[in-house]
Amino acid sequence: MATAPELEESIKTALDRGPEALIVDLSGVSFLASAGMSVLIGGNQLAGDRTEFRLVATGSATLRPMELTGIATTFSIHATRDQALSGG
Amino acid sequence: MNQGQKQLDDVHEGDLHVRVPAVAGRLTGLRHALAEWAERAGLAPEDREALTLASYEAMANSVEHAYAGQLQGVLDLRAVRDHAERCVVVTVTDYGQWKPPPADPGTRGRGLPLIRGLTPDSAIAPSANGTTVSMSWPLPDPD
Repeated sequence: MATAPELEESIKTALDRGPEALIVDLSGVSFLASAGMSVLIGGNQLAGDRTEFRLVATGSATLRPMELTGIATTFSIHATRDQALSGG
Repeated sequence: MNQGQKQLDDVHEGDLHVRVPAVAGRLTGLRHALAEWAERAGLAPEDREALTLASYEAMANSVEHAYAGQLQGVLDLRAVRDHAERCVVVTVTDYGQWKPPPADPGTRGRGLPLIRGLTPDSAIAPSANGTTVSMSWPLPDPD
């Protein structure tokens, strides 16, 4: 709730440039609540067919809430930034 | 006995009880306080993480919905150890209105499922005077 608007703004700005892929690296995130997850879902939708929307997430602080709410399956989630960049 | 002392009777050593304005800017500080409290209470790391996130979601609901259209309201956060039941109980209370989740929440609407998923035992009690969310987690067995 505190930083979600900032993340939303960054995602929108990046998507405005119409990149092939957008990677949101959550590996330094120690707390992810529903406000942040809403922003990620919105970003994924906004990316649409034009941009590949990928996440980097490893720790339980980010993976657990995404798995519990069932949204993890809607994202392309990778363990490292390199893997996300290569799409593997 | 003054009012402050009377109210202290309900707060036991080692419990956490704070009343703050129900505004988003308070939530980060509160979740850090809860995480520290849960560690002192002796909860397992996984349960500390669950307690902090579920409580945050309950408080975020109060901030976002309870006092919509009003100038300001408060929320009460309590975290207590129940030695007899070998558990900790967190309650989040507001004194505003309960807003039922919409049928189609769009990209939102994940707070309550998250609370239920993170909490072995939770209850939401909306009333005419406000809403209390109660959540509990087991304490590890003493060595």
